[in-house]
Amino acid sequence: MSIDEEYLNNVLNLFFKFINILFEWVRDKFYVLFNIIFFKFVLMKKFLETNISLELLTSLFSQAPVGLAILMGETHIIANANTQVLEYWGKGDHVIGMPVLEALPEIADQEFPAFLKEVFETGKTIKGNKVKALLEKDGVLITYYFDFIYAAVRADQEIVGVSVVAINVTDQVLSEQKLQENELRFKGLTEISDYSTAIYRGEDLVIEFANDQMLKSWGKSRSVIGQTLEKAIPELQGQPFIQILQDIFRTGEPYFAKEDKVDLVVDGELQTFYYSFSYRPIRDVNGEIYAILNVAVNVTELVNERLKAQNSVKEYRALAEAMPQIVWTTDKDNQIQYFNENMLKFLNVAKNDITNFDFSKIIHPDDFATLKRVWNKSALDKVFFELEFRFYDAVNDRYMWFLNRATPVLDDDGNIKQWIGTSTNIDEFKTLAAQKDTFLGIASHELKTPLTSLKLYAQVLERMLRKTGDEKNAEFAKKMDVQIIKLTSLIGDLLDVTKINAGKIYLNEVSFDFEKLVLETVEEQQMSTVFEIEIHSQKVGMVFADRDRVSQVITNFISNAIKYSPNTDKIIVRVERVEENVQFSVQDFGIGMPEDKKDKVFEQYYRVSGDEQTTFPGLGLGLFISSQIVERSHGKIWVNSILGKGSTFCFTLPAVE
Amino acid sequence: MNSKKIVIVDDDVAILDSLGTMLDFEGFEVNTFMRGSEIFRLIETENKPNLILLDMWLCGEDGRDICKQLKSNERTKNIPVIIMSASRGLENTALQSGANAFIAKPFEIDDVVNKLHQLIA
Repeated sequence: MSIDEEYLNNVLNLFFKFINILFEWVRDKFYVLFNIIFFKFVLMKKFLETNISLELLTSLFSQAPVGLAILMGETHIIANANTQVLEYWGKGDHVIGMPVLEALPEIADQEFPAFLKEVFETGKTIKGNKVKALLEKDGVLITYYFDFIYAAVRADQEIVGVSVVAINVTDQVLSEQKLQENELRFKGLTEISDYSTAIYRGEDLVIEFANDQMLKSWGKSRSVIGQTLEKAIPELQGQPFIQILQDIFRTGEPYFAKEDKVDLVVDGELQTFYYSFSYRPIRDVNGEIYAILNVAVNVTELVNERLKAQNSVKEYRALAEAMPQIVWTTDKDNQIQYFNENMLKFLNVAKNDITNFDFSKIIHPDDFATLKRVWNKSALDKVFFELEFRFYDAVNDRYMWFLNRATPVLDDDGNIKQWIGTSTNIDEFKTLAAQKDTFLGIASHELKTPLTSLKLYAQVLERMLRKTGDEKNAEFAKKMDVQIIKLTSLIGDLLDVTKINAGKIYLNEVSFDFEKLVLETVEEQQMSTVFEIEIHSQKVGMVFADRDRVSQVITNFISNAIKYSPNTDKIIVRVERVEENVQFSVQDFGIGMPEDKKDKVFEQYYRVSGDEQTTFPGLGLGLFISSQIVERSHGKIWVNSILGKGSTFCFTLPAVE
Repeated sequence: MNSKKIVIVDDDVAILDSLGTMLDFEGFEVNTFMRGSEIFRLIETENKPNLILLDMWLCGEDGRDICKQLKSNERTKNIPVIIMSASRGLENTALQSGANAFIAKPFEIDDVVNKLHQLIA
């Protein structure tokens, strides 16, 4: 064997030894590259074993994509160096044959000479991983990072040199450094962020980082950092999160959750929280997922508030269902949104049939226009309304009276967003009320017949007694007649109310002198009272109304003023012209009434109540009848009053020119 | 003086009695009937009355129909008719049936007497 052949064999063996060492090292990081090299060399070996030439090997050696060198002897003379390693060194092939420290004096005080020495002396193989090297290139020291293997070169069991395999990993290291820097900067930012942030590294989900917010969310201390998520937060077992996180390593797909429920032990108690959060994969320079970034916002309060609102909606629904009334809601355009069970039953419709429900189909045609008017007006003023109208009763095939109330629900801008309504069946009440009115009508009519003859007998009696000169008894008969007049008036009131309720009050309208009527009526009233009726009047012109009915109102005002003025003896009557109207008022100095009762006095059957007032006689119909007469005569009626000081009742009627 | 003949038709005996007594007392010659149909018999057999006081709601009869009949009969159309009713609101329909006047029950006897004198004079 010539020297060349021996040398060649030596180099060849070394070469394949490198390859084997390289194999393990490269496997993880440069799998593809490794495969190519390995494949190439296996082929080469086969080829070389059969038909090898120095030329071929030298070419292979020089073309290898890794730095290769053989340093011989104690002074590490560069026996061989391929193109790649020369490029790393920044030197030409003139360095071959030079001791390495002579060729690369800048490494003298770096760690490489020590490594070489160790390998040469002990035969140990040294692997370096991302080792920093400062190499001079064009007179400038440049920082490189290398992965390298130093292995002993033996000849006949004796160490004769050191083989060098090196790969420049400078770019990778710099990227990693940059990534690390970014990561640090990111952690710094997230540490002070309001969002809960954490990073889980590896499929084991080791908590690499968690900011204070996240630790607070977990109810854990900083000691969990470095632990796996599963160990740090054992209550996550049985919840889906760990699986989701692990899946991301496989799929690479980020995961987003909105208001997701999570049970965590906080303050020693398993509690339910709601989080909106994201899991995003973090990739290294090679695009491999090495960690997951978790950013989360605690929305528990928000969700709880909403759940509470939903529950209260449920409660109100339950309340609506439990009510004996009909309950409904519509949107702002009066489209039905909801009917309670009672309504569905009444209408004989299914719950699903209520969208686009046509109200006009179930409301009595005579009532529909009124409802529309009232509802529109209410919508305009954004106020509650109340109206009686008839619904079609599908079960009994007839219309039924309901008392309907609806109230608008306003949004934050004050616009109507919904109507909530109730309808109470008042059909029976209405029937009874109508029966009552009919009964009162008949009763008062029937009462009038005996009253007529009673009155006649009293008058006959009075006249006969006067004829015989029995003036004393004649006076008694006259008094009987006065009482009959009072009885007649009471019955008249009852009859009037039934007429008003039935909408049948009849006004015999004529033109008459208003002041003259007042003066006549006052004169009549003055005859039957000890009160002084003080009159302040003037000519105010004519009115067009029912003269008897207007007289009835004036009489009612005066008799009320007297009735509710115990301990006084004067009332004041005024007749005035106020713009287009004539105005009549009666002022008394009696008991008066509180502010909140002022409108009530004009209601049907309303009587001034209270301990003292209960002693005042009357049916409580007079002012109701008066208000109806005035309103139907296109006038206005009202009262000004101070409790304990007295009242002034007023009404106006339009004057005719 | 010749007393004027008044016919009162009402289904209430007390009204017939009290009003009859009163008008008698006031110097009228009074005939009372409980049924409207009886007026027609009277008119055929006796002298015509000077005035008829007619209740509106007779038992089973409508005073306004009787009034219309009287007013459509040549022999009786000139006899003044006063319709009486406890229903004040029916004054218009009473006058539409041809009645010369309307009196709401209960009434002041003086008002009735004044009306009688006005219509008979």
